[in-house]
Amino acid sequence: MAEGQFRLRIRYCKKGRLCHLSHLELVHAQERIIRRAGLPFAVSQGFSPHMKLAFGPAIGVGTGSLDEYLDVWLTRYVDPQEALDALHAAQVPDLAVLQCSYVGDKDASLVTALTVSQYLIDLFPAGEQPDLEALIQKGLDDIRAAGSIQVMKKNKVKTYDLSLSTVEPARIIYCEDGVCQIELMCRSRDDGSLRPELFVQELSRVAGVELVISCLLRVAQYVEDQEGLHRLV
Amino acid sequence: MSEELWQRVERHLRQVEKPSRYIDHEFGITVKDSWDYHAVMIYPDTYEIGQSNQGLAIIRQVLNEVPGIYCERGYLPWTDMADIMRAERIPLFSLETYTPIADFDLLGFTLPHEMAISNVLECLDLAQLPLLASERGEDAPIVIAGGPCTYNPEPFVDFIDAFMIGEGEELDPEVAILHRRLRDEGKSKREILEAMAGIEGVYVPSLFERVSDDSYQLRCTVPGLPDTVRKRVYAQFAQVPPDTSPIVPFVEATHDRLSIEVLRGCARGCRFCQAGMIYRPVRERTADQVVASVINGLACTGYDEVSLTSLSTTDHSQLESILRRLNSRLDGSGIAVSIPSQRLDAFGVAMAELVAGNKKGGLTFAPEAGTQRLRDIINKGVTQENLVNAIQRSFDAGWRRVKLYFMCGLPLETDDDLRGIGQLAGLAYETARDAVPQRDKGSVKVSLSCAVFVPKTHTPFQWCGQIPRDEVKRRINVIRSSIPYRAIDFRWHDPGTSLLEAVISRGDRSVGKLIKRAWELGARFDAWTDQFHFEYWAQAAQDLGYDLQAMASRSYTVDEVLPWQHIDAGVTWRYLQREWDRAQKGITTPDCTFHGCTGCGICQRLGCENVLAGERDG
Ligand code: SF4
Repeated sequence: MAEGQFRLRIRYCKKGRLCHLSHLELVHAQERIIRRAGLPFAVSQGFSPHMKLAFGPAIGVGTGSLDEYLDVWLTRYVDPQEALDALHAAQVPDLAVLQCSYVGDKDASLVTALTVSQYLIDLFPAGEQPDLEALIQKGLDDIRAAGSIQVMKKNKVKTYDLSLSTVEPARIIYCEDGVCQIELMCRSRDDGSLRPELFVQELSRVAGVELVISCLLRVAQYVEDQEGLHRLV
Repeated sequence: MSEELWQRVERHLRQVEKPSRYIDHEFGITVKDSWDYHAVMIYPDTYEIGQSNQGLAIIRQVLNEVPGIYCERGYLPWTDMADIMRAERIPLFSLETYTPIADFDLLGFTLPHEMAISNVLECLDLAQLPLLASERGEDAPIVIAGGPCTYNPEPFVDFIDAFMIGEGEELDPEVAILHRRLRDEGKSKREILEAMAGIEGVYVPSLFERVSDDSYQLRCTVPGLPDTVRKRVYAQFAQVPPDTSPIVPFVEATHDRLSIEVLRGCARGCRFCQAGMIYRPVRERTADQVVASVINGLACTGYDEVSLTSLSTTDHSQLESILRRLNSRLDGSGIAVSIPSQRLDAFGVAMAELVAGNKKGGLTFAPEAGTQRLRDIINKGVTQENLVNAIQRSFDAGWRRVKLYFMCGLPLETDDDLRGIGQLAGLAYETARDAVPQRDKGSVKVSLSCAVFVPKTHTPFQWCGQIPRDEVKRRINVIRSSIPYRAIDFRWHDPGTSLLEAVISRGDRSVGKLIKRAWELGARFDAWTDQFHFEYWAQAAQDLGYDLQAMASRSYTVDEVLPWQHIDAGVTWRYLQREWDRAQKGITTPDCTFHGCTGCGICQRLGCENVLAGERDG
């Protein structure tokens, strides 16, 4: 391979307190981890040279993840296990690197490939709510029946068609001790992806109860094709 | 670790701006499992401003090196979080262990500039501690303060138990170790403070009183302790390498890069400049030490930029060799080296060229005054020729933007000097345009920034008052109308801020009441232009019957006792008086690191000396 064609794919998580990092802060943190790890990263040429790397779909501030990806281009081959060890020594624990492997230089970009995100959302009501599960279930049913979500964005109404914006209808995973966990499978779209926060906002409105997110976690990201959903690594 | 306090804060992190200000867990933090003495150092502004402060990082480092002492970080939460904390009764916390500030043994603040003081009060209040030192009980932490503003501590004495004057590398651990021992012996706060006052560099204001009502002269009420407090100098600075594994923040800090302090002090002797007096003598780290620290620090932190910091990096005797070595070591890595400001001569531009590579943003030069006459008065050793050469060379080398810094309201300034600013800027603009090819002439940008002179303590201009606000406006207009080209961008500092800086910088003990009243009326984040409200301060002055203008523009005679005269910055009063005298005669005084001792007195009195890594020339 030519210089800069060793494309190392790194799978990592973003959890604990670090779920409060913004996407930009995460990007900077990862760049610094790679530098500290001493990996021979390629540097783009030009006016302001920088590390050649590419991230998967952005993850928002306040959202944790167990399944994040980035690609970094290296100038020479480094054994993936060695790269993993070096990254482990340089990382901060809540951004732990899980896997490293090479992918083809011409493979699709992470943003193009990863189009589906599976979220787990922990919700609690702002006040006392004895019938939480029933209320949320009814809210989910109503949203499903409506088939779309409309939100105001910069004084314009934006409509998310749920058959396009989600892969399956959202469902309750469990509901106990005043906390309800729901699962949401979102599909990223060029015309704007449905963010879990927006979904919860709609759910609050439909269910008639103010729901507060206590934990928002992207548990997995998928590639979608005719045969269905696949994991990347 | 107070998990409970963290959880109370975390519940609100989705509601506030930049939640990562509050999460800790960065790379490079100090974690300890057990300790018997707990200190916290607070930077009285937001995380991203305070995190880059090198002074506090040094203090934390030296304290954490002492077995049994754990020193943590604290910052002032932004207004959104502060409002939530008040509503929810959440006390101000340290970052590493989320311990309430009121539970620490030692609470330290740095006072980086005058406008930070309302934030110190805001921190104390959020910590649920009484603002007044006299009202804080035996259980409260001992509150100390250090940093440049403590060279006149009087405006702050109501709030602070003890001031650390000078460099803290040795001083702060001595204070903490003494405190720990006396605390364990069950001594009272008063006994502890008296003992602290016995350490050179510690000023405990509650132990001092005025000799008479009509003089600012203070004397210490504790027998055996001196009436003046002399600053501490860390003489080993040049021998000890800088820290190369600082905390790497997640939030983009204002100085988001590795900082390596290459030298301390500046002896150029600009007569308005406090830093140039209080950080003497000059101590340079060697090129070997600097280069090794940069390489090491970059590897440890993963930063892609390093700044070689100091008051006057281009004066370092080995700078050229440092930059050449770094350039060859870092070639192709995408890592940028920066130096904080440019010396106004060909050498300064040559050094800027060495660090810029092909990324030529903007350069900043500070002629400070518009005519040679006034530059001689302020002892700013640059000439019009220096400026023209520097501009010519830098635009020739590819730069297209330059910013020129000036001051307005300097002692002995005339309208001719003000018009000189406009003329000099015009000359800079013409020189820049002449130096670039025809197609680039449109992209030449010269901007002019003008600060209002604020008299600072321990400088030859400490006796001079500030010009009144109306006069500031008039003088700004004189400058504006003297600028020959519309293309030159002209900005000036807010006169309201400058007025307050002058009131506080040379204030006496009565200023404490003003600060407290302004904070009560709502003053906080006064250094943020969008948060600063002069009205709070004006109202506070009115409530107390103070005249801000009179306080700022008050001049002293050289034989009066000044409110800060009990603080000994090392440089003698006689030297400052002589410098003021020479200023009035327009006589310059050379830099002692280039031309031999000029008798400021610090080396003889404090048993230290300029330490240069090589021969300086320039
Ligand atoms: S005593 Fe002399 S050599 Fe030392 S800093 Fe002062 S002027 Fe310079």
